[in-house]
Amino acid sequence: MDENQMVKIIDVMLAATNTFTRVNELLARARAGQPVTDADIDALIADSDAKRSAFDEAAGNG
Amino acid sequence: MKRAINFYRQFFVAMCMVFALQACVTTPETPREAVAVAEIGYQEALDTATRWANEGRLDDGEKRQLTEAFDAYEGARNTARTAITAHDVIKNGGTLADLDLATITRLLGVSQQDLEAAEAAGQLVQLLAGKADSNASAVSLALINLRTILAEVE
Repeated sequence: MDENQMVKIIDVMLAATNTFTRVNELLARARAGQPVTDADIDALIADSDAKRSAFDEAAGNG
Repeated sequence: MKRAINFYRQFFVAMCMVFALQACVTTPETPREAVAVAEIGYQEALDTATRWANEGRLDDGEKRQLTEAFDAYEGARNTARTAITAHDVIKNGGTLADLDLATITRLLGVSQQDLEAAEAAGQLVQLLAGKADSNASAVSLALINLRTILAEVE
């Protein structure tokens, strides 16, 4: 296994861990009486849009 | 060398199964929760792919594959949001006249005649609830597809 593959495997595992933590926080709040709202989703999508722009720039997408 | 590669592959698959099982402990119960959960996964995938692109770990084919998967995910997510919003409008006493019918018929794959017939039969709320559920599931599937591609470009 080369260094590139190793780094990618570790990155994917870290991403899975982060996702698991954030999802559990979100759903724990929902179960505690704070339902997911449109405002929550709008905020998430705004973050995603910024991250998508960063990816497009890094990937050289027009 | 081959044994080492097999070991790491098995280790990776095992870790993925652990995370999948953990993720099952708390699951989304509404279309909004499903979209929010998928969006978090999408962000993590974007962060990972951006880091790889910045570090020169992706070739042009992999960048194109990921870009297409990101586009597909966003399309599914936007369709699900349209369905969820339309369902809310009708659930809260609105009528078809309150909806953007051109967008809804195009994105949700339902004709205006079917919507009008459902409204006349008093079943529009159920119809749109079904669309919200199925399209939220489609967002989760798009994320699974995206994660598969992310794993393939390793």
